[in-house]
Amino acid sequence: MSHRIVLASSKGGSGKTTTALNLSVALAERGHNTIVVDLDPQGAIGLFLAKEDSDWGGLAEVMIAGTPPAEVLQSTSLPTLRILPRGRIDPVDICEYELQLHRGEILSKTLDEIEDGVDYVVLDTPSGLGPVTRAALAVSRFALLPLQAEPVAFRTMSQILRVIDHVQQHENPSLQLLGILPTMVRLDNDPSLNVMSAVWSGFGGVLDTVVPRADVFTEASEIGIPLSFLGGRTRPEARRFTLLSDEIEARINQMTGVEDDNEHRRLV
Amino acid sequence: MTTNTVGSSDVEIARALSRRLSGLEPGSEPNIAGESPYLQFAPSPPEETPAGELTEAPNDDPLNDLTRWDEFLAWSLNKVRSSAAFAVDPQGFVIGSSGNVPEDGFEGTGAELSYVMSQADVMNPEMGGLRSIALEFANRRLSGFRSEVAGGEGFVVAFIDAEEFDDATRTQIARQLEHSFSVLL
Repeated sequence: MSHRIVLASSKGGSGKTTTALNLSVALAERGHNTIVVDLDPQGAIGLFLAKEDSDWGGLAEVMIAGTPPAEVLQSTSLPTLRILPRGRIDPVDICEYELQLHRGEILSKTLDEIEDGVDYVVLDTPSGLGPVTRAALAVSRFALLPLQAEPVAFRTMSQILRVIDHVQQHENPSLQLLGILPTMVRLDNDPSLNVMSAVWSGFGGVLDTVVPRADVFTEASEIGIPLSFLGGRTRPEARRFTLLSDEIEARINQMTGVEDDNEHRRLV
Repeated sequence: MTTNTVGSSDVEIARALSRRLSGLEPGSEPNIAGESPYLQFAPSPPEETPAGELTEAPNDDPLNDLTRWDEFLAWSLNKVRSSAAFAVDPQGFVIGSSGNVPEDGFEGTGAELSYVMSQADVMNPEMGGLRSIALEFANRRLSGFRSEVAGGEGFVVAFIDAEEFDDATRTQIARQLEHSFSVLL
């Protein structure tokens, strides 16, 4: 059974899509069979990769035309990474898309059909706590919360945590908080540093990995590629996602009772 | 850290929830003083229909070829916004379920629901047999209706945490059940 990880936040611009894509790439580059699912009605994953709005079939084709999910999975240049795009949804039908995704079992059935032999399914969601986010939380095992290190985003943390708590108690008892991922961190900026101080000093589940604010993210999205695919030297920000994938894997192993067989070694 | 952020109740709630959800403080509820500050939406009222009459579902709604109870219930979940659905036979046995089904299933709930409905049947014989029920518990809502199929046996289709659904939806589900009943496994 695959590990389903949903990226969620109540506030927009927290780095969900950036994290979903770059984390998925990092997991795939480590050899894990990974699918990233674009649930965002905007089709954020496709937009990040500079695709046209109607380039890719995807979940919409499954929902509307009954297309088998396997037929709309997009391969990538990484053999271990595939994308389930949003599909060709008319923007005027987004309301209906959200309602249908939340209602019934289409998302659960779609994931069941594509995750045979898959290690990780990473679900990108739209900002907010609406039907799509709720549908994703209801079918996932782990919630990863990007937290933009700035005051307004910090003040919204209670909202997403309350929803996760509610879903865990009433809809999906297997849902767990995988971690809070600080993003766009600027330790040379007082408001950002103040948020990090508050988060580090009292919150539970805060990941060791942080993602700094950096121009390289815009550079990568302008070209339409993940960070680790940028030419030239390996960017330190790309290494952050390698670290993140390592930390995620270790956390999931710990939470699912998988023993760590990494024993002490002797040097001499 | 400015006083606008430090010590705010939202941040305190977030801190407590994050610690509980991450297992640092298992089982403790965030200490929220006083009543919840949030308003709750009431379920949307159903469209009014004359008492005793069922609204006819559109005749051109196609019937589906469903062969399993879980298929039928999954289809029902597409009609009624709820977290789970189950079906109970006239003897009180749960014969299928779909959606967010708890680990121990709905067997106990189904048996008790069947008993409760049979008790309601005899409350006042002049009012006729019970057709539908909606129960609100502290943590969940349970609603359901009886559908008479072959031989007049009353099967109950029940939903957990369903939003209000109207007679047309109920008729549509009953119609599908009647169409599929003879082949459902």
